[in-house]
Amino acid sequence: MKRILRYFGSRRFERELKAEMQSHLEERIDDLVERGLTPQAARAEALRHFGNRTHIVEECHEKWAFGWLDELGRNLRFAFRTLARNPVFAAVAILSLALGIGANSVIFGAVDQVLLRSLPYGQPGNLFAVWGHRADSQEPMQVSAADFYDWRAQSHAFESLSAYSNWPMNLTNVEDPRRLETQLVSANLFSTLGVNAQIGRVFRPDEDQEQSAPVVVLSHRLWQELGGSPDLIGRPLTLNGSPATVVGVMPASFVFPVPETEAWVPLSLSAKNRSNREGRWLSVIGRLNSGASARDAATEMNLIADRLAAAYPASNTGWSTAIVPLHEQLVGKTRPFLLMLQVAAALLLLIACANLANLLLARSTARAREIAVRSALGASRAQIFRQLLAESLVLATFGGILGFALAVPGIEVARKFGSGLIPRSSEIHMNLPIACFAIGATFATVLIFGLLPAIHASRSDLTAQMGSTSRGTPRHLERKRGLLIAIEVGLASILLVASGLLGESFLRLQSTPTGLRVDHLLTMRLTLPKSHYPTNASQNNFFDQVLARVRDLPGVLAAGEISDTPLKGNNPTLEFAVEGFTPRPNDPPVQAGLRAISTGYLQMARIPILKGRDFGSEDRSGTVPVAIINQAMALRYFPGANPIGKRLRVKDEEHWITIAGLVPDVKHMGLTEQEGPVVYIPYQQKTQNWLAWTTLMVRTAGEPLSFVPSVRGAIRDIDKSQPVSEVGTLDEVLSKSMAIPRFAASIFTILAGLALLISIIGVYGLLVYTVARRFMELSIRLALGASPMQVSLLLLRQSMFRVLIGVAGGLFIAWFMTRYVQSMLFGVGPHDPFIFAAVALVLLLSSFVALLAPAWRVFRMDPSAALRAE
Amino acid sequence: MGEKSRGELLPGTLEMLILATLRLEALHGYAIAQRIHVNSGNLLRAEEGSLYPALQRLLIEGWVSAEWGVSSRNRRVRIYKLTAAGRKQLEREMKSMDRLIEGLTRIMRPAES
Repeated sequence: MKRILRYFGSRRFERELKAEMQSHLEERIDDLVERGLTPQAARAEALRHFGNRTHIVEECHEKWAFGWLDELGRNLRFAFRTLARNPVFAAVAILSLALGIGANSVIFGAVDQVLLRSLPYGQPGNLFAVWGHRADSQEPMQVSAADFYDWRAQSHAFESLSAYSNWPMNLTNVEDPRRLETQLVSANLFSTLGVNAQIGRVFRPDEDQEQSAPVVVLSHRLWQELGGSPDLIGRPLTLNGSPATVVGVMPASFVFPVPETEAWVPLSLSAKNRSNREGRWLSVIGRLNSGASARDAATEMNLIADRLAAAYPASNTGWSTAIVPLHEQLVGKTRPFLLMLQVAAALLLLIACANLANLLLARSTARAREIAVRSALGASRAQIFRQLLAESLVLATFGGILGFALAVPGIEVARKFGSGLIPRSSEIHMNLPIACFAIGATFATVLIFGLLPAIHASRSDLTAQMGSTSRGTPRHLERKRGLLIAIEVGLASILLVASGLLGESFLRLQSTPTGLRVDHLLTMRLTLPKSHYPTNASQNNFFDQVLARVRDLPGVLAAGEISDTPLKGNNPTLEFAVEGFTPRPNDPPVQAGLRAISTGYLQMARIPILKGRDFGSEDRSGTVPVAIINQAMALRYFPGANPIGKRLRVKDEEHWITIAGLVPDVKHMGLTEQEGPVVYIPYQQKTQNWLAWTTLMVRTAGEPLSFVPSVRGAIRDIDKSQPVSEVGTLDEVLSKSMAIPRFAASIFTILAGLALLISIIGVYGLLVYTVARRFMELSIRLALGASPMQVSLLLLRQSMFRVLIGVAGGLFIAWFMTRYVQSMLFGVGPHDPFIFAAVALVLLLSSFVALLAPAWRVFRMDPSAALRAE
Repeated sequence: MGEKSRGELLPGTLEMLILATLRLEALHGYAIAQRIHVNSGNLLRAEEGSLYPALQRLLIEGWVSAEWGVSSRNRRVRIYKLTAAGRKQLEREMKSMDRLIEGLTRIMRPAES
């Protein structure tokens, strides 16, 4: 510090030094004059004596200012030169560090911005999701409207409680009618979240009353899409056939509850709907009172639930509540995945560091004599240490800069890839913490890989080095390097096990039969507004017309309709009564998914009829109601019996439905989930007026998406204001359902592949170096009659032993670590012996192959030449 | 980082001589040069060109401290003083000096040892 001050106060420093030297000069002149010289002669003599004063000042200046800077500069210059002379070494080192630092920075960015950063709402720590909870289920349950309003009236721990429900609507007063991702929300939702509109206003507290004028708040994106003009405020949008006034636009950064949400509409319920306790369809969030703790809230909510259960036993018996911090609710499921990626990236960086430490150790040995000469010439240990560390610093700095440069596009990729997979991924962007992390990681790597070689080299014994020849490196160094190799191989095997397990999971997932044929299937969703299609008859008429038109289009092989798209996971579930089946007192009620299908759907989807018959044109309103059940239903409610001809009914309805057919289970909920009981009914016989939607599925002769215009046209011909949504192919739906497993498997394969490559380079490098170091010894062995094969085997055995230690250690650690990836595995256990064995085999084999080349060198050795050379 | 050798002094010895000169009393730059010249029986000469850089180095090491004062001729000068660390350093240097001289003597004049 003193020096820096001195450096910057350099003008004063110069002035003082000059004054001091002036006094010096004058003192000498006085002396000379006292000895009898004339003042002129004395002055001339003194000046001659003194020499160049400016030069002296400069030299003194350097002493202060550049003592340390200068050394650093020289060290860095020297490091540059050394590295430039070893471009391959430098490139391998910099690239492996850059990959490690880049990968870690990107994942750190995601972890920081998704998991750690608080939600972009006001005082987000006080926000909680409040769910219904049943003892017999782990899943959080939605809440009925009546329960929600009772919670709101009775809770004191929550300052406010708000409900919302996903409720897409048709927007029709625009050029191309479309489906809007709308949320029905209680009017206080925005104040609960602590956010305000960017333009206009959010809802007033009373705007969710039944008689209040219909209003809508737009997302920034939808507002842009509709022209982005502030004039839009006050204009009406026709939503599901009735007008709603735009009152506000949210900021672009506002997301609730999902990024896809485009508009928010008040939840204006009729008195009848308000008092419904059976239909549980609302999600609830609450803002905690500043005085209350989460525990208070949980206790209070459960007291309220108990009170409601006592008052309304028919609907509320067995229901309690669960509260979860909103942040946890949003990102909790992603945490293991992201942390797993972070650990994997950290392992890769560690492997790169171990590898570099290894290479540097090898080089510091090769440079042992250079270093010895330096210290003999007066360089202190500290100076040598600093010099070697400077080299590591240069490598790491380049690695860090390149790594950061890779992280910049990497973050973009992460955001793109994360959309739809990782909650809050739209918030991921390059920021200062990531840059700081990259810098920190860079210096951390210097400490990890640079310190050991630098300490080692600066400690080396001077006389031993000076006296030694090229063969004379101490054995303890080789042990250190052997240990580093074992660590590298061990870390690599952990990554390989993880990637093996995830890869195997993905392959199993991919080969899981879906239960239907997914190729060449165009899908789109049609949701009919009640205003246009109030009755079942009108709805079914529309669905039938669409089907007839689409089936006539050229290139269409088959078409069918089903109320919920397969593989997507929507599964409206109803309570049924099965004739002759009485659940025992404590058993859950008979519940089954209800799916309406058109005639020809099963055939189009290639779902075979196991027993009974398919629906036909004779199954229509007025004929005997029929159903087809799946195997899960048959097994649970008709075990060991033929279900065909048995009867069941929706619990709230009067009429009995006769089971006409049996079909196998389909992966309706996604590949990883086993389907539960399902009842298929024909659209033409549906009595559920709310079931006003369908997924139109079209099997096409060519690329399905090329049929979008013609199918869309056919629908427009029937009703030009009817929008379609979720246009895509079933292949896409399937592929999307595997996106996370695919992502995990592919990123781990890349990381593990790099780890394998780096550690194999390390294994190879160590033996190359060992052969060079033990050249004399090996030559003597050969000269004394050992066959080259024996010597090669000796070397191979020693190297493979280290690899073996590493593999064993790595697999041992992996055995305990794999349970952290268990939640991502499918069809394979975390300790799958096949994977563990395969990893061991891959590492041992590839190490062996890498070792062959250096071991082979023994065969080309000329012992006599080697001995003469000494 | 050895000093450039100027004149008849071995590298590094000038600092040692300065420390030795300052052992008895605090002196200013010119007085140090004079003292070295006179005390060595006019054999050694501390050139200003190396004296001042050497003094700076001693300041950096913390072996001497400097204060502005007045010379006997009433001139404003910087007066250098040995610090405790400087005293220790001087002892170290003297020990290694003794060994060096002994070694040199044995080699240069084997008969006399």
